[in-house]
Formats: sequence, C-alpha cells, structure tokens
Amino acid sequence: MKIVVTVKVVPEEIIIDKETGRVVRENVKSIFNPLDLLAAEEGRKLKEEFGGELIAVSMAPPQEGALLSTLFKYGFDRVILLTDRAFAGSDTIATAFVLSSAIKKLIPDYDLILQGDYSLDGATGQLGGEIAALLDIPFISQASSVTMDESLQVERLTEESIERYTLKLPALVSARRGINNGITVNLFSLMDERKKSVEIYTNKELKLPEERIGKSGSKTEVMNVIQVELPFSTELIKDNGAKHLTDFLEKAGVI
Amino acid sequence: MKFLIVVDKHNSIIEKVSQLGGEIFVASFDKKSSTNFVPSEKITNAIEGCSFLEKVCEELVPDVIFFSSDLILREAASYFSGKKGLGLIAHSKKLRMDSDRLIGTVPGGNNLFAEVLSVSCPVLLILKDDKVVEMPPIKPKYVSFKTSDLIRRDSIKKASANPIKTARIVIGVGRGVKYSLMSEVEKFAKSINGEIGCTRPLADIGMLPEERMIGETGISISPDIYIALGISGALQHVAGINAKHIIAVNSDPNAPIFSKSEISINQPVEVVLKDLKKCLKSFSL
Repeated sequence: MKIVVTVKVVPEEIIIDKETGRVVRENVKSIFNPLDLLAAEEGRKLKEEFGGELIAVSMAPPQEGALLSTLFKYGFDRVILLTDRAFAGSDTIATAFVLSSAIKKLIPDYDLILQGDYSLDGATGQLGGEIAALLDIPFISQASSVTMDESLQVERLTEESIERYTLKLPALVSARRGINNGITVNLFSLMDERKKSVEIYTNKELKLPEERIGKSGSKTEVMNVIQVELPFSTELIKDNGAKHLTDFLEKAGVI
Repeated sequence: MKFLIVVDKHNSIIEKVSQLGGEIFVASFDKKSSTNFVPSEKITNAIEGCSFLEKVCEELVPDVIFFSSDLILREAASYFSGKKGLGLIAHSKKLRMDSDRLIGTVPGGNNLFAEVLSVSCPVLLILKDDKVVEMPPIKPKYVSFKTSDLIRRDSIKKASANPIKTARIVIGVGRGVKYSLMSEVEKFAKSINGEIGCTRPLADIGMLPEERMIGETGISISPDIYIALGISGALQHVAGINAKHIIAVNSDPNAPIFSKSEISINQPVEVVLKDLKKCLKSFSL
C-alpha cells in the first residue's frame, strides 16, 4: 500500500506585522501542523498492517527541509519537499493544484492520501476536497477511524452523528482531532534521519503552468487583515481569587 | 445578481444573505425539501453533491453560491471548487458588497480576521451559522445527477447529546492550564456540577476532545456561568460563548478575557485551584 501524507509546516505562533498585514515567519519556530501528524500515525498503522510505503509530501520554503527531515524518524520512507518561488502566495486552490499535480507525477501509483482536517494557521479545511476533486478520487473528512479490508472503511464523527463509509481506493481521508494520540518516534527509524534525505522538487521538474500556481493561480485575495485589540478591565483581583469565586457561586445558588 | 444558497435540508436562508439584495434561489441536498432545486435522489457524499451542483449551475448560472456550514455542504463546496478551479471563501460570518464584489470576513486565529474576496466566478462562500429566515415552500425542480460508486455511506447513527451544550456551568480551560492540572480541574468541575470545555490550541494537542472545543470553529455554548481558566480570550474562542456571567482566572494582567469577565482573577490557575480546595467543601473531598 502506498500511503501519502500531506504535511504542512506552520508557524508555532501567529504574529501579524501590523504594517504589512502579513504573518511574520522570521524568528518564529516552525512546527508540523498537529492534525497532519495524527494523519501520519494512521498512515503508519496501515503500513504496519499491510506493508508498503509511507510518503510525506509538503509544499514549503526550502529552509523547512531540516524540519521535514525529522519525519524520517517517525517511520516515513520518503519525504518530498515541493519548493519554488513560483509557489509562493498560493491560496488553497493553487496549493491543491501543486500538491495534486506533484502526487500524480511523483507517486502515480498511490493508494491513499491522508491529511489533517485543517491547518493551524489557515484553518479553511478546504484543501482535502480540492485535492480529491483534482485527482478525481473519493474523499471524506472528520475521520475518527480508518481501517482496511477489501476497501477502505472510514468512521467519522460529526456533531450529531456517527457515520460509516466505504471508499474505493485511491481515496483521500482527512483526520479529525482525537483519531489517535499522535505519532511517536520509531526506534528502528531513528538513524534514518541521517541516512535518508529529503527529496526536493522545484517547478523546473514539476513543470506546472504559471497561471495555476502561486499568486497568479490563486482565486481568492486577502484584502485586509484586521487585528482586533480588546480593551482590558482594570479591576483585577490580585489575591484570594478563590474566595471571590466561591462567594459568587454561593450567591448564584450553585453551591 | 443571482444568489444560489445550498443547504442540507432546511428551507431557510441566512438573514445576512437576504440583506445583500440579490435574487435568491435555494438548492437542497435532500429530495424531500421544498426549495427551488432538489436532487432526484438523496445526496450522501461530496462527489454526488458536486455533480448535482454542476447540473443546477447549468440551469441557473449563479453569480454567487453560498454553502451552509453543514459538513456535507462544506465537503461538497471544496470538491466543487477543486473540480471547477474556483476560489472558495472559508467560513464567513460577516458579508459585505463592495461595488458588486462580495467580501467575506474570515476568522484567522489570535484575534485576526481577513477580508477575503474571490476573483473567479461564480464566487463560492461557506457561511458560518447565523440567524436564519424561514422560506415559504416552493414547488421544487427535480435535478438528476450522476451517482458515484466510489464512496458509499453504510450507516448513520445519532451521536449522544453533547453535555456541554446544555450545562448550566461550563469551565473553560486554555493554554494557561498545564496538563498536570487537568485532574484537579475535573474534580473542581464535578464539585460544582460543571462541564469542561476548552480552546482550540488545547483540542489541537489532544488534551480534550474536539466536541469540547468552544469557539468559532467549535461549538457555541450558552451556560449561566462560564469560568475561564488560563484562557487569554481570543475573539475566536469568545465568539462561542453566550454566558450570563463570565469569571476569568489568568496570570496575565493584560489577558483580553478580562474585558469580558464579571470577576477577573489575576492569579495563576494552580494557586486558585489550590485555594478553592480550602473554601469549597465539595471540591476538597
């Protein structure tokens, strides 16, 4: 089974430059999108059971290669970094185009694509559906369990219901929070970080049309970023807060 | 301007859309609905939803398609956007027209909001739940679409009700609550008959399940009392709280949550919990 996990690198903290309205990336630690790592754990479990290959694909600036190489120690067989200045400024549809085209080109015999339901920074939750549509494959989000028999069995939780689906492979599944407890370092793969290297592809190799990628391939535009500053109250209780709290609860008839 | 609103089953439209002043049409994914367009068969996945929409668009040619925030609609919206190569504006609560262009305000975390517009047509936008207006029933037009054998829904079961939605007291935990304190928070919640909720960062790291996450991308709650422990008070979190009384505990005197709270306790959460044990009998047991 060839399992692709799309992994997004996100800033640990979102700080906005008030002058430019852009997310500050300098001096902010990069981390993996937490939900993507949950998806990776599902992929790792499936590979363990059925064999095959676990491949990470990430579109990121070149300097994130170092962070991406740490994916090997979680048991990834290949880590692919898609990086090019021409990809910069991509919105979700342009990003979906880059990722889906790269998967088609570099891993044409993939069986399953896994990812997190959404990213920490963008949180649009649209990427999965767009990639699946571009690849013409079925897609389900908010998965709470992924298993395989003859076809893929996915359980998902919504606010109102528990649903079970059967999907034909290849398919794309995005994982919800709580699908597992996260991925841990695989002792057998610990040395891989030094032995294996991240495969880097630019648009020289991918040859994607300019009008579908980056800023020119984007179909949404951010006009303004508004940061709302909240005023804060001045009457702060500095000690014995517990007493104030219990007095209040008592008055409210709770205790 | 022609607006198409796509809903799961209810024949209702978001009030904000009705105020934009376009000609409104409604399509539903449920064949039993009385909306302008309904599918010839029930739609249970994004591929079919997308194919149904393609057919509706051939007939109507809308300028804007609004999707309600139901999960299957969100999935179909992204699938449709991918198929057609169209821009999709994510969950917007605020909408405005700027000389014939629709602009949606999208939450971005940390009290940030982005004003987003789409440069492709039709404009696709997912609405965040808001006040709805019931529509009179319309004799529907049945639209047949291509069913898919790539995905099949085998079962659907009602999930148990979420206790946090109906609780009188909710205790919210944020980044200021260390994992090691969680058992104390649980005991405290139990002693006052409260339910525990959390902010997005905590749900993201798996400290609490998603159904406990309060805020714009989570659930909305309306308890009598909300006790915010170690919560800074990002707008995206606060947006989900409609409480009669808010009590906040935070060691940061500049935490925005203090602008919303009736009682503002500027002490570390662990200290307040420790002291509570002394004054709350049911908690110290």
